Order: sequence, then C-alpha cells, then structure tokens
Amino acid sequence: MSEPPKPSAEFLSEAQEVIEAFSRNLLQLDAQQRAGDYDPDLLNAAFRAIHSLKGLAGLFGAGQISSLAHSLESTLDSLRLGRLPLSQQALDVLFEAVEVFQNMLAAFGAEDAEPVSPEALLARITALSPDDGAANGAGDLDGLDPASLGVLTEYEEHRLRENVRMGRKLYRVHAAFDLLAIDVGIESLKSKMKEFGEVITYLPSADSGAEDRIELDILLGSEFAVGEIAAGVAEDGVSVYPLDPKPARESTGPQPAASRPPVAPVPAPEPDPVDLVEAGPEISLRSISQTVRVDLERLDILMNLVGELALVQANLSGTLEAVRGLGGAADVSRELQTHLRTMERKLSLLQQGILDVRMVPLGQVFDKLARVVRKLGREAGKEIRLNITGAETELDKLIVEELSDPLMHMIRNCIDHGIETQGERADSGKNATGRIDLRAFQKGNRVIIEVEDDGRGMDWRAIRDKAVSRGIVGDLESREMSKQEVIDLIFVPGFSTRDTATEVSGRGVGMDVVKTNIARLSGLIDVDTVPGRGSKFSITLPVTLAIIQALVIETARQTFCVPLNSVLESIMVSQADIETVEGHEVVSLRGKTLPILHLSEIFGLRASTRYLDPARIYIVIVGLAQHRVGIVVDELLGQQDVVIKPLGRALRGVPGIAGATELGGGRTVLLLDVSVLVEEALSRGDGGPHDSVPEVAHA
Amino acid sequence: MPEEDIWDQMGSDALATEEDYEHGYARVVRVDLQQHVVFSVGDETYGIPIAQIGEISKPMFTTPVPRTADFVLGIGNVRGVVIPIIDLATRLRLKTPGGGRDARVLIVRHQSEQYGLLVDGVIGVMSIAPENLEEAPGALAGARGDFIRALARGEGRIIIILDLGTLLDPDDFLAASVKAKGARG
Repeated sequence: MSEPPKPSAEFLSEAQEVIEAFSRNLLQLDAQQRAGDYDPDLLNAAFRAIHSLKGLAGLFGAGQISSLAHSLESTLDSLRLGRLPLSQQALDVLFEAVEVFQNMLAAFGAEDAEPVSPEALLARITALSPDDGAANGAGDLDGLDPASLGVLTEYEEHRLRENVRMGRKLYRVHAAFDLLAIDVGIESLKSKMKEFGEVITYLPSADSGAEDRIELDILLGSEFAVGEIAAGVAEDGVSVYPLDPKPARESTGPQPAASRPPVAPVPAPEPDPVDLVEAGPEISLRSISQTVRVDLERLDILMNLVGELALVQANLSGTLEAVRGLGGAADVSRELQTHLRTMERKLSLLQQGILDVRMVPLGQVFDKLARVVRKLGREAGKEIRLNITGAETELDKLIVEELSDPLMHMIRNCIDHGIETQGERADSGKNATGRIDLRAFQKGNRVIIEVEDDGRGMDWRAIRDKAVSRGIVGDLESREMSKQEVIDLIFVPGFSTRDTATEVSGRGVGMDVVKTNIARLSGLIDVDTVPGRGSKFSITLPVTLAIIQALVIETARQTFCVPLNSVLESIMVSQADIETVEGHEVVSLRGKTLPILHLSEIFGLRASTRYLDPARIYIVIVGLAQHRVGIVVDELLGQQDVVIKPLGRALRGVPGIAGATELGGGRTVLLLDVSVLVEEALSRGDGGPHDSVPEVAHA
Repeated sequence: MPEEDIWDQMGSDALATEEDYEHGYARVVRVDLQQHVVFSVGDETYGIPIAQIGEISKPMFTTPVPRTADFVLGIGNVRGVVIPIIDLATRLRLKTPGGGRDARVLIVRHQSEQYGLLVDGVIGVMSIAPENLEEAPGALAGARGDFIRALARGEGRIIIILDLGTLLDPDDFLAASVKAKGARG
C-alpha cells in the first residue's frame, strides 16, 4: 500500500469513538436478534456510524478505511432496507469489521506496524450481497394506496412492509405543532409513540392551518389498539386514526384513510419529508459539542501543577508558622491562616476535578470483551452468555487501558478451560448455555472487577500434579501445600493446565502475565473455584494511579514512600518476636508466619545499627497478589497523597523502585515497587516456584 | 556562568552584527561553526554541543537511588521534573570526585529526556570549526574511548567532545549486582 498521509491524533480518537459506538450497536443488535426481534433504529445507528466513519476517513486521507467503510455502508444499507436478512453470519462479518477497523487504526498509530489487509473481510462482505428482491415481498400492502406508497423512500416502504408482516396495525397520527417549538414537540411525540410501535414516516399534512402552525401526519405501526395509543400520546393537537389496509372507498386524497372517528382532512403527502427527518441528526450534533477530547499528557501536566501548588501551599504554611513566631502580627497571621485554609480546600477540589476528568467507564473495555466472548464462543462451538454489570464504574483512563489485556486473557481462559462443551454441560445437568459474569463495582477507594464462569472449575489435584510434572514444585513440597496455595500455582510462569495449546489461550502467556500486569497497576488478584461449579477471579484495583496515597517511611536515614494500597497494616514488634526459619527472619502475625526483609539490607544502605530501637521495630506488612511480606523500617512518618513522577529511561529499570515523588520542602523521595520487593523476598533461595528475579525488573 | 552569558557568546560569532552591515560584510561570517559548552572535569577539558544543553544550574539536592551504578548521584528535581544526576568524574573514571565551589550541573537533553551532569566548572562557550574536529579517534582505547565522539583543538588545548549516547546508556545505570541477577532471571 502506498504511504498515506499520516492521520492526526484527532482522526484516530474520533474514528475510535465512532467504531466503539458501532460496536455497541452491534452488540445490542446481536442480543436482540437472538431474542427474535430487533429495533430497526439500531441498524440505522450502525449505518450512520459507518457512514460518518467513511466521511471522516475520506477527510483525513485514510483511503483504506474509507473504502472498507464504503463497502460496509452498502451492506448495512441492504440490511436496513431488508434486502438482506440480519443473520448471525451477517453479524459475524460486521463484528469482524470492528476488529479490522481497529487494527487499521492501530497500524496508523504505530510507526512500524504491519499494514492491515482488509481483502478477506471484503470478500466476506461481497459474499453477503443480497439476492435481489428476497425480502420485499414480505408484507402485503394491498390495502394502501399506490400513490402514497410512491412518496415513501425505499427504507420507509421496507419498514412499512415489515410492520404489516409482523401483524401490526397501521395508524395515522395527526399532529399540529407550533412553528417555533416544532423540534421539541416532534421529539416528545416521537418518544411517546416509540413505546407503542415504530414510527415509519412523517408526512406534511394537506390542510394548511394557521400561519404559525405546522401539521403533520405520522405513520405508526403498532400492536396496540387505537384507544390505547390515543391515550398514550395524548397531547394538544394530536389525534390518532387507524389505517385500514382494506380499500374502503375511493379516496380523494392520496392516503386511503378509512377514518372512522372525526372525519379528518386527508393528508396530501408531498414528496419531500426530508426537512423534518433531519431534526434527528441536529440533536445528536448538539450533544457532541458538549464534550471535549483532551490529550492525557495535558492532564498530566495539570496534575503536576496541582501537585506543585500543594507544595507551595505547604511552604506558605511553614512561612506562616515563622511569622507567628515573630509575634506582634497576630491579626495578620490569623487572616493569612483563613486564606490558607480556603486555598487548601479549593486545591483539593481542583485535584479531585482533574482526577475526575481522567476517569472513564469500564464499559469501554467491557464492550471489547463482549465481542471476544461472542467470537471465541462461536469458534469453540460453545453457546455462552456474557452478563455485564457495573459497566458504568469509572477508573483512571490509564488503568482501563492496561486492564484490557489481562481481562481478555481471563475471559479466554473461561471460554477455553472453564466452560464445558454443550454435551458435557448437558451430562452434568447444567444449562447448555454457559454463563460468564463480568462485574465491576466500587468499594471504598478501590474498584473490584470479577470474572466468574459457571464451568467446570479447577481441580486442585490436577493443578498439583501438573505443577510437579512441570518441575514447578517438588513432589514432597507439593504434599504440604494447602488447596489455596496449590490453586495459586496457576499464577506461576510456565504453568498451563492443558497440554495442547489451543488457538484460544495457548499462546505461551498464562495467568502469570495476568498477575504481573495487575500487580503493575498496584492491584491484587484472587481466585476462588469450586470443582464442577465454576471459578471466580477477583481483581482489586486502586481507582486512580496518578495520585496515590502513600505511607512515608524512613530507613537508614533515607525517606521512602510505600503505596498505601499495597500496605495491609503496620505493626510494632520487639526483637524477641523475630524468629528465624532456615536462615530467614519471620514474624508471627495472628497465627500466620510472615517472611520479613530489611529495606536497608536489600537496598544496600549503610545503617548504623540493625535496629534503631530493638524494643520498637516497625514492620510494614505489604501484600500483592496472593503474598504477604513484612518490611522492616526505622520510622513511620505518616500518610500523604503523592503525585507519582516517572524516573525516566535510565532509572526505570531499577528493581524495587517504582517512581519518585515530591514531599514538602523540595525533597524528592523514591516510591517503592512493592510487587518486586515481595517477589524478591519470596525468591530468596526457598527453592520454590519463585526462584528467579522477576522479569518485571527490566521491563 | 549564568545562562545569559552563554547565549550572548553564542550570538557573537555566528550572526552578522551591525558592524558587518556597515562594512559591507567585510568580516566573514561562518555559519558552519558549532557552538559547544566547554567545561572541566578533573584536569581535563570537555565539550558538549550547546544544542544538547538545556540549562546550567548550581548543584542541587539529590536523592540517592539504591541499586544504581556508582556514578549515579541520584535523582534531582528540576522544575518539577525528576531527572537522574550523574557524577561525570566517576563516570569517566577520573578518580577525582566531582564537586567543589565552581561545580555546576549541566542539564542535557538526550532522546527527549533530561539528565544532569555534575562537572567541576563551566569554562564557557566555544565555536569549533569542522576542520578542527578530529572525529572518532581510534587510538584512544579503553572504556573511556567509548564516551568520546571527537577531539577538538582550540585556544591551545584539547577539548574532548563527549558522546551522550554511550555516556547515558541506560544499561550502565544499574548496579552490577542487580544486573547479574536480572540476567539470570
């Protein structure tokens, strides 16, 4: 492909949005199609989405996307005109298009990405092409006057036939609107009518009433009786008449309205209903202009500024203290303090505001997952229903992005390993349709995401045998492990419960990658499984990453921050409480033995004494994924909200250090990478599954 | 040396002045001269192209970073951005540790990230003509040779032009012990 001009970031993000909207339409259509009947407006929305994508791509010179969109547009047009039935095959092609579009966009974004070839998809689109006239015989329109049919567009006529075919009655709704308020009036009437059926078209009414009023006839297809509709849409100037499909009499007007109740003037349709239909798009335009797309980097800059302002404020408080010490200016310093307090409040509001802007709903990822479930389920020949709850739960944009791969992998595992084949499910008396629940909810300042399937669950004995045969744990050692410890082995690198790699999940990456990715987001992952009943993975995440709460500690006279979300608790022990097991120091906490490590030792810091005060030893208990470790420190200095700053290319590889942050007084301190420290503690020659320095260190 | 002085000096050679116009360009204005910030480390004189230098500041407070090589002094905070600060003397194996009254930190920009280089003192800005640059001197063996991009002769001394690519190689920043473990894992 020849080098196209590089589309701007603006194009990429806008196209991404259009494709996401398109994908959401498809998912709804898919669900409704399975249920038997779908809302034609969804198909229209999908058509509009692809149409605007085509325009957008054309505008930015993304020729390939534009031409693919063009082909799809024709297919969607056939679908909405009923020339092509909306089958699962057709939906397959449309879903595939979503993937291809996204690959194309990704290829635009990356410098050295392989060009995406849409040929295979184009061929499948062509294969779908309609056999002429297949659908148009559907509804019998004998009763309607040909002249009135003539003014309908092909789409309207198709919908009219569809309504007749579905056994709906046709109604003519006559409405009069004030010229000035017509857009509001039509919208409100339309939404009322939608509850009763489908609005097929709007036709300007024949009788010209007063100058400042517009009268319309609306063609409505509905299963309800005329009385119900009339009651439901009751509004000034609106009346409902049934249209009899049987020709009652020779009508003077074009519309064969066998109007029984009030002898209404017959509509004389004029062949240009376009103006009124346009009212729709105008409304959507307005809503688009309500949102602003912002580069995340700009938000980071703002965030940094807020962090620095907080430092300025802290310095001001220090100055205030100094002024107070001078004495004689009590009034002024009191006033200053009031202002400072106000500033503090406003600053924290500002900080919260910026954080809120970074938040996006998890639905962005869940939509992608819904497509994956549909695709993989069909490939694996398993009928799977995905239930999503909490798609509106919000997380920092960065976290949402980073989550999509781990979640994708967990879903794949559910489909491949968890959900049984339909036969197996029938044998064990389960519903043939497998079920995956994807739940998200907020709990305090954390978000919990659960992926649960009702499949075969995990057999801990099988996991143990596999782990032994893979040499991950020794045979003897494995006998001493608890059930939960055995199940946690699935997070160890190199573990996979199936010998033959399948296309779905056997890609050499396993749950260990999931765990690493979650840990990188300061998250915890837990698994709960009942053989024969299913498995549940729970991911606990902080709501935001950019600003975190940190525990400030000191060791060997150096200050460090520990992310508070990985701190479980801090305890104080005396030297007598520290025992040694095979050369490793441990403490007992509520009956559990915890390995401990000295920060000054692992960081090679020069400490004058091993313990500042042997009677008061502070231990910070940290936990990540399934492990708990105690870190010995000299002092606990308190908690603080800190803005994380990256260390840059040169120092980013230092194992155990996640970043830096500024505390008051211009001090820069390091933020510990708890996940790496925990890994290291566990790998200290226990011969167990963690006997290697994690690769995270060099990521 | 304050930042303004450097920019003053930079203008003096490369740009035509009032005088040039008056005398009908009697003076030859060379445009191929490269401006270098010249500084001392130990007993030697070094240079870095001025385009790579963002600013020159007094030594700032640095926070030591564990598990890093000996030449990494730590991280410093330059206008809210956290950057690594390097002791150039240690990096160049010059034995004499950096610092002192005239010590400065050159904030350099490399691959769109900033680094601070602690030097013993900034001498000034010098224009170096291409013909006075001796590219990639092969004779200089050893680890230090990798850091040298060229030698320049000017004002009676040899100026060693440093190569930021090798000087700031991220692989060298980790302490050897940590790297060994990483390689095993």
